[in-house]
Amino acid sequence: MGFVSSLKFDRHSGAVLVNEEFMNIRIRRKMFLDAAQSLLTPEMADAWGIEAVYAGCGSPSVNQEIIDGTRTALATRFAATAKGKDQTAAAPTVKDIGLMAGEVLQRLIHRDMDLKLHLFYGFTGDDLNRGSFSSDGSKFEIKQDKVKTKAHEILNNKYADRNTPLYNDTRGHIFGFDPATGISAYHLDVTNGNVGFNMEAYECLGHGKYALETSMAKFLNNVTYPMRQRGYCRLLGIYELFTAALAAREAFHCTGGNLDIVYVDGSQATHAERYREFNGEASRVAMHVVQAAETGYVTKKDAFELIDAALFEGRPRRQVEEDLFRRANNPRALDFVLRGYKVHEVAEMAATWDAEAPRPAASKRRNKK
Amino acid sequence: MTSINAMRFDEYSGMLVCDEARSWNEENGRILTAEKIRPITSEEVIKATGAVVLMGKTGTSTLGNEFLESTKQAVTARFRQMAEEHGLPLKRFMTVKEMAHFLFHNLCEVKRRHVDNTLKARYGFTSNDYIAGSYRNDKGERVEIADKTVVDQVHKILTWEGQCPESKAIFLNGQIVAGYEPEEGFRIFRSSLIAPHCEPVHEIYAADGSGVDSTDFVYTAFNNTRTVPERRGAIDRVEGLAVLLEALLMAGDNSAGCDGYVKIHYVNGREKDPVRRWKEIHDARSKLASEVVKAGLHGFLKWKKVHELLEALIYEDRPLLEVDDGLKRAATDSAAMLDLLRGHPHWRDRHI
Repeated sequence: MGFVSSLKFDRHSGAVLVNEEFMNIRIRRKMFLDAAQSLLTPEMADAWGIEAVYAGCGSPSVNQEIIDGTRTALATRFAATAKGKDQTAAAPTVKDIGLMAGEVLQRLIHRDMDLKLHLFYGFTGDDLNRGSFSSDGSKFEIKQDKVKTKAHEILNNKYADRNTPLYNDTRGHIFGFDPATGISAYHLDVTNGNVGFNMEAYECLGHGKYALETSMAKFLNNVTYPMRQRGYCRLLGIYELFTAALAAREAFHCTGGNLDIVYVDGSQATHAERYREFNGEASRVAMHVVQAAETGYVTKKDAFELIDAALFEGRPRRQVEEDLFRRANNPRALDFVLRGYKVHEVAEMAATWDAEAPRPAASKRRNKK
Repeated sequence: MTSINAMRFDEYSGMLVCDEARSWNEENGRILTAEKIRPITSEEVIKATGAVVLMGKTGTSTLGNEFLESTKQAVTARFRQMAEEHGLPLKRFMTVKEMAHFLFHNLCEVKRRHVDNTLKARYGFTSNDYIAGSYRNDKGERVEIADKTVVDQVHKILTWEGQCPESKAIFLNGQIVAGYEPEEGFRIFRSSLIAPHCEPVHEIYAADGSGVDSTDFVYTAFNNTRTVPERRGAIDRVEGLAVLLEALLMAGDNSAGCDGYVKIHYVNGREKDPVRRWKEIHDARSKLASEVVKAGLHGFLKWKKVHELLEALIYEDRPLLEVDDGLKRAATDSAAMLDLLRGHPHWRDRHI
């Protein structure tokens, strides 16, 4: 299932953060979810000057179908626009893309209902609407009460089988940039086919969403209106996304695996510069940096510099790690923390070592600006 | 969402291990506070009888805790009663088998109480009344239980027929009982309310919980390659420990809810002092033991070194930092090993 979080930093930039864990068959863990994908090819993005990422939680196959369907719709639109000229006038907005994805979702929901009706009874939703169906050349009225009741349960999403919980947990998040709107986001809900506009452009979905949201609220509730208007530093934004992710990992299932980040910066000229993905070792070391700061082993200032080095400067992971340990006030203790030892126990152990042991950071960070 | 495991090394000793994750609510919260394996013989009983018996629980946390604590109290009460009747020292107390069956009967009592709570709230009668066919209401009137729907529904609640939701929390519970007592030595039993049974374990191990999806492969591979004499009572305690930790690692990687530190309980009936027959290893020491095994599985340590480090950490109680230093020194590539231990995925390094 996984989680999705996002944050708008300023008018033209923001980031989406997802994790790679999902579960299937008897709650078995898998760490290879590909939850955040661009809806545009590089050619489209460069021609149109826009960016759009789809990040989904819940059923991986439902989300992939929405991504594929939306990509097809965009490709059709792109093919219809004249090449060789400035195509930005014909570019869709993020809202347009959100609505396209919504249509894909609505067709998918309807199709899945038809599959069930067809399997159980041999007719579709259209037949139910008209009150009859045809089979082998004959017309049959749909009169049986039990059938009608069950069929309506299916249409109203009241029917449940073993796939239903995951299906109903599916949510999509479309986050992107277009010149007219700047950064904006849209929300898809598989239980009702709705497309919602996300005005604040922050999002917390999926497993661990309550921890994500609580962490995000602690940050955003202390950001003033002028600050929200003018925006804030991308390093602060990414730091907060990681902090929220760590909170989710602490207290909820299905929040593990690597963290993947998509950073969107609409002020840049090309797709390659506007849409940047950080995953694998780069994002893991960035997560470790935030963990180190949150547990008091490096300062927040150090953390920002290290995140910048790991992600935006693209320094080799090992180099960033060595720098992290060099800056740590107790490298050995930090080693244990990053290996998953419990923070309070490490502090107790470290108190017996030569170096001064920092106290676990707990909530003291929230009192700082 | 649990992994509870027990392994018999020989007629005197064995080990139980578990994770510490508890699922918290319908929003898939989890918290690392569960004590899934605990003794059902109190210190008083251990000292007086030399019996050290533990129970591992999986299923509904609150019910499992109630089973365990009520059984421990009942065992202690039985001991005190026998001590009063026969005087100390007792010639004989209870074998592991007798405690396992005692536990199962206690589970039945707890189950009946919980089912009765639901029946009283919903229908105004208890399971005994239901079986008898009638009850007396608050006004003292005798009421026949005649309605067919009520009769059918209550039967489902009583027996979990169709896995009805009303009694799911009660029935979805399993237990492992394992330990040493002087008459029969170290034995393992498993019981369950899911498919009601209480039986001795034929194999040298028992595993339960969602983690069994993974742990069973590890134990099967291990058992398949033990000789008959080994399986009958000659499993090396370090090798057994390593296999148990490997199984927990696999459960943690592959099954949700098998998280947090490993808790290790070593039972060794050879110790003269009964209190020393049970050794509980937890927190950083058990975590480091898991890391040693993980490093070995991924090819960073020769298996001989894994055994040496485990022996030093768990059985010889060497200082934690000494073993941690030993781990880092012995690793073929310490930096890459630390990457692994810090969570970087490493599939190519796995030692085959």
